Amino acid sequence: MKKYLNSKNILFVLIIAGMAVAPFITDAYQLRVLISCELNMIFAMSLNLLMGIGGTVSFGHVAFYEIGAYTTASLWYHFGWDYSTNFIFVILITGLAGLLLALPMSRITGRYVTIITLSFAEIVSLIIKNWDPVTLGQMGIVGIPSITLFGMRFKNKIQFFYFALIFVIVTYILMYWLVNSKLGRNLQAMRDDSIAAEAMGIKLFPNKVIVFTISAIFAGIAGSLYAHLMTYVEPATFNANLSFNCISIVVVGGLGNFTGTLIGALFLTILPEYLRKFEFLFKYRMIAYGMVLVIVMWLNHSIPGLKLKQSITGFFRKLLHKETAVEEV
Amino acid sequence: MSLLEVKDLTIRFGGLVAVDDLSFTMEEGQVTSLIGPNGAGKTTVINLLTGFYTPNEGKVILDGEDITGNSTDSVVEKGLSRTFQNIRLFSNMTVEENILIGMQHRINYGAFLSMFPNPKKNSEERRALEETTKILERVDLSEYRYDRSTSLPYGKQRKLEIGRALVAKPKILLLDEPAAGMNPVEKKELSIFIKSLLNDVRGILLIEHDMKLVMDISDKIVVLNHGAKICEGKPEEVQRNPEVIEAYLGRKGVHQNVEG
Amino acid sequence: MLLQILVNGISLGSIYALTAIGYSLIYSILQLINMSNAAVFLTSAVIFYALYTSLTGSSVLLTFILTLMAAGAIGYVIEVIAIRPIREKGDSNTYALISSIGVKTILEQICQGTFGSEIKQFPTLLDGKYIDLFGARTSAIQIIIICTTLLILFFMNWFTQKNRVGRGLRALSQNLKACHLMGMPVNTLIGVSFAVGSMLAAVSGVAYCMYLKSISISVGSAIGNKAFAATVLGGIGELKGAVVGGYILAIAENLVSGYWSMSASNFISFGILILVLIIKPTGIFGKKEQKKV
Repeated sequence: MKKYLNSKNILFVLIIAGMAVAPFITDAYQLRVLISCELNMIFAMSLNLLMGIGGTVSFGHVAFYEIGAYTTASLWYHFGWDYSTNFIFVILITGLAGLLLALPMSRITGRYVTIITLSFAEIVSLIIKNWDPVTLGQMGIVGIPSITLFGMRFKNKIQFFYFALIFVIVTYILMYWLVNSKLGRNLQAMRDDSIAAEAMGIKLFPNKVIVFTISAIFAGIAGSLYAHLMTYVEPATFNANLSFNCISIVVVGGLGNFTGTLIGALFLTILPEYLRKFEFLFKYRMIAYGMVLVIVMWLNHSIPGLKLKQSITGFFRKLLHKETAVEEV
Repeated sequence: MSLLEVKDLTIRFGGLVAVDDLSFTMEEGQVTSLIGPNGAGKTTVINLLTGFYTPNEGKVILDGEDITGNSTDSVVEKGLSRTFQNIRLFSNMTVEENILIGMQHRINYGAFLSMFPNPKKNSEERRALEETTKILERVDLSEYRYDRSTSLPYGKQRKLEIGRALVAKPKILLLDEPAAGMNPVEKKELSIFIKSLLNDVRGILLIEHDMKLVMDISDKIVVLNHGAKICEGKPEEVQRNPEVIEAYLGRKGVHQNVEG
Repeated sequence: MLLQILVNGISLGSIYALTAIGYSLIYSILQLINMSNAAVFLTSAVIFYALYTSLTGSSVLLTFILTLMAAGAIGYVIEVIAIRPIREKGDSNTYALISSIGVKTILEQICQGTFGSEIKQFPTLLDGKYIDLFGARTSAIQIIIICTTLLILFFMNWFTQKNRVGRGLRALSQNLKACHLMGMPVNTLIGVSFAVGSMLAAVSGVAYCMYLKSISISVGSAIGNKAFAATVLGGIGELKGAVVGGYILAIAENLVSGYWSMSASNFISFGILILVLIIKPTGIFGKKEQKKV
């Protein structure tokens, strides 16, 4: 039990506890924002696994989110299946998509990963836009019901909220186990120095495939929840900005830091909504995302190399406990 | 039978013959050194042995088993472990994690079992941590166990790299310029340490520029120039060889040596 | 029919090529995919529109020159604010890339906020004038675009091969650190290359909107993605690759939409891209990366 007791996990428990009581003090609108937070948390944690642990920046992560959303939406539309069945297909199909994206990784390194991931998202969005019989093309699928589990339908957003919260908790715990295992260590070694990792006998390609697949599955799950939350899906929603926002959340929270990702998601989901109050600011709310990206990159730059466990959470921790800053140097 | 046998090894990069028809053997319980001027192809030999490059011709036989052209991961399993000329530690990981990576191929559970706690994972992890403790004691880094690897002083980083290679339980340890950037005192310590490593592994292949260190600890020296072997033998034999002197000092050096 | 397709393809290809050069130029120096390039494309078109409708009135040339200057300044400022602080500390390129995405978001948002989301009419040149080129109906603006592009390509060739600044840029793309040690004004040169890349994107952006005779907020991402695909196709970091890639993509698109269908033409560029990435990820002119151990 002792090994689970560290500052990040304690912070995680506090965040979850805070979230768990939130429905008692929020109105319907605020609750909806919090549910968006939860989806962003799952989505961003999946990206953090790929970026922070796997060392591969995916600039097209929205593709998996979109596939997840469309899988559950199409299955409902064509077969009328409920979420408990669709969920299995979401995992299978997004996992397969992740596997597919990982395949070219055996031939390419570094810079081309950016190009491949960007192109992958474009291709997925084109296919969904034009595959009318399955996805209904540009029109999108509307009227998706709220989540139904084994015939039991979620009556209100509070149930939805707790359902998504369970996913957040499960995702976090699975990520924690994974990172602190042989697989997680091997991935981190590849991230830090792929040549040295190879020399230690790590097979790079299978590990890449595994991390892409797992990451895709969690992004897909977040997407599938999104479809049921919004009750409609259309291609225009899933644009590149969603990928970039997700990257923002991850870098704000700190690469490889999953508790940080939760905080980043809360911060960057609630802030734009808060700006709604000010019409002028709301019009330019996306600038906040842009500025956050540039500024966090500035904050990170002070020590050369890929900086992990830094940025906002690390930054605040340094402010609070000067002595813990030593380990970062 | 020799511990390692390299037969007619050749690799070409375009028109350049980086290693040219190289043959040598390593014997059980010995330190064999590979020396030569800059660009002689020493590191290329290590890259060939460890599977980073595939030779155009020739054979590598480790302990009676042909490992020519094997992939890097199977070479590690067969028993060759290396360090790097420019230290390559996993910079964002702790000392302990670096050691754990070194023994990853001996931790027997796969990707699926990684994702949740289970008896297999728990027992393997416990065993791995125990071995890590031992190896950290061996390389004298126990007190740094939870520190970031790159926060260690330079000499300790070298030792960590050697520890990371040792924990793979190799038959042969390949050390690529371990003394680079060290002062005379550190070099002295290092030479004693390398000699002591023969208790842990069956043979050491050393690449080094520091002649004093090489002459002190080698049982056998192979001299390379322009990718080809020009001489092989005991330290004192190599020291006297005119071709070696020429390769290092140029023609004039030979005359001076002969006259003086 | 074929000739008509070729004319249309070459004029569209010119637009792709100009933006693609911007990607390649920065990439060749910093190994950075500058995501803000597409946003500069859009911003320049918006600036041109704003200047033309409010200040300069009827003078297209004056508006164009002012727009170019503005675009150059924007490019330089992007480098100074978003790229330089990260670059100077020796951080990974991924950080600079993410930062450039931040800039892209900011620029797009400013355009959207000021311009709005409707489609507006864009000033064009010699409207309604056509030339019959062996049976291909070629509009005056197409000829202007093609000629301007050829001029710029010759200029870029001269600039990078013969000019002192261009030589400096080429030296930078070989070895940044060595240039720094040799006392070259590395920062200024990189700033200039961002300015040049932005000005090319500006020419491309204005030309594209003149060609369409309209402007909307989505032109940036549409052309930006295609230009990016063209860069990859030609081999990122190679100027001639960007040009060849741009023309190949545009002609292929026009062929498909001419002989087959409009919606398939969207697929063709990414289809080509997938093929390139699978068969030769370094692109047509790209050099293979050597693994260094």
